[in-house]
Amino acid sequence: MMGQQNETTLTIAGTWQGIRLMLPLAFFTIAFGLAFGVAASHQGLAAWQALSMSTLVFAAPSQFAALELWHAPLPLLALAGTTLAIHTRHMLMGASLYTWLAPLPPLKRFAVIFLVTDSNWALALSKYQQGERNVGILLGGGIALWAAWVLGTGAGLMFGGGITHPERFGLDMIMLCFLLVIVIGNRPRAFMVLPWLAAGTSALLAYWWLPPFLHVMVGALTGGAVAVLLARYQAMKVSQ
Amino acid sequence: MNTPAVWSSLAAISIMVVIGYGSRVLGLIVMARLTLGPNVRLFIDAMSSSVLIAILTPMIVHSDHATRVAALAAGLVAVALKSPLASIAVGIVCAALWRWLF
Repeated sequence: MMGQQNETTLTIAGTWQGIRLMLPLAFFTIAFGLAFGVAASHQGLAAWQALSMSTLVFAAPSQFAALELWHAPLPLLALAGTTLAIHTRHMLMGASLYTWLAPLPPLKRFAVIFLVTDSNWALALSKYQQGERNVGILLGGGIALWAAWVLGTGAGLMFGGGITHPERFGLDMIMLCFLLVIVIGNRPRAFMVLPWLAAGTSALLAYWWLPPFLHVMVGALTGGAVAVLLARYQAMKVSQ
Repeated sequence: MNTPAVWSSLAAISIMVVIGYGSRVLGLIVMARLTLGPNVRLFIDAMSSSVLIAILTPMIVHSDHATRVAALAAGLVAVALKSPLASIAVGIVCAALWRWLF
């Protein structure tokens, strides 16, 4: 099986396999979508706004982050900066898929890349390293997650719209807890403690003393810079 | 609640769509031809989680006790159980309980 297919392919059978492999996780994604829908309606987003975000942006972290900024007048610049800081990582993900997707016709390539998100990327890349060449595994996983995310959002909007005092049931915690979980639930590394402390502290200081919404960028850049400095410092200590 | 105007909501969602899709495509067509040093990769990686920390910290500091308790409980569950759903559920229940009790 493995090693025989060195050519990139994209078949329906492979796509089905991708969908099936991602089904267990898609089940959880429905719940996350539900959480997003409830949080969005609590934050005052119209159904079409939340649904078009889930359909077209298809990225839980930036969507939840956008909710936090969703007040009139919308801070568009801060929103762009925040989204950019979160999505820069997607460039690395896209780049890692280059050799696999390059033989596909451009239209298919750019359609598949739209559905790339953390989970199906991680799964597909590990399969690719084991010799899988069928892009369907990536596409199918993306389809399953996307459908689950959109369905869940719709359900959450219906459900959340009917609740008059969401904070009494703790539903205003969804956004905060979700962001928290993305940060620390996903393989927390001891190395990141210092960068995160720096990010949190600088963000808080900026929140107090700089113009509104700059704290997000300040924290993001500080965290990145401290991580690089820390790595350099550690490398220096090893080489001495 | 103060809801943003339709045009600005449309602009906001468009910005997110362009950046979200653009970053995936850009990685595929541009980044693949550049070789990124380990420092750049590390910076990008650390930045993507730091931005969430930067959003969270003032949110938690400037809130009520219920929120802080919920955040603490959800954080502990996230680290201990590695289950996002359980963690969110615990956060919701904690905040609801706290507000009901106090």
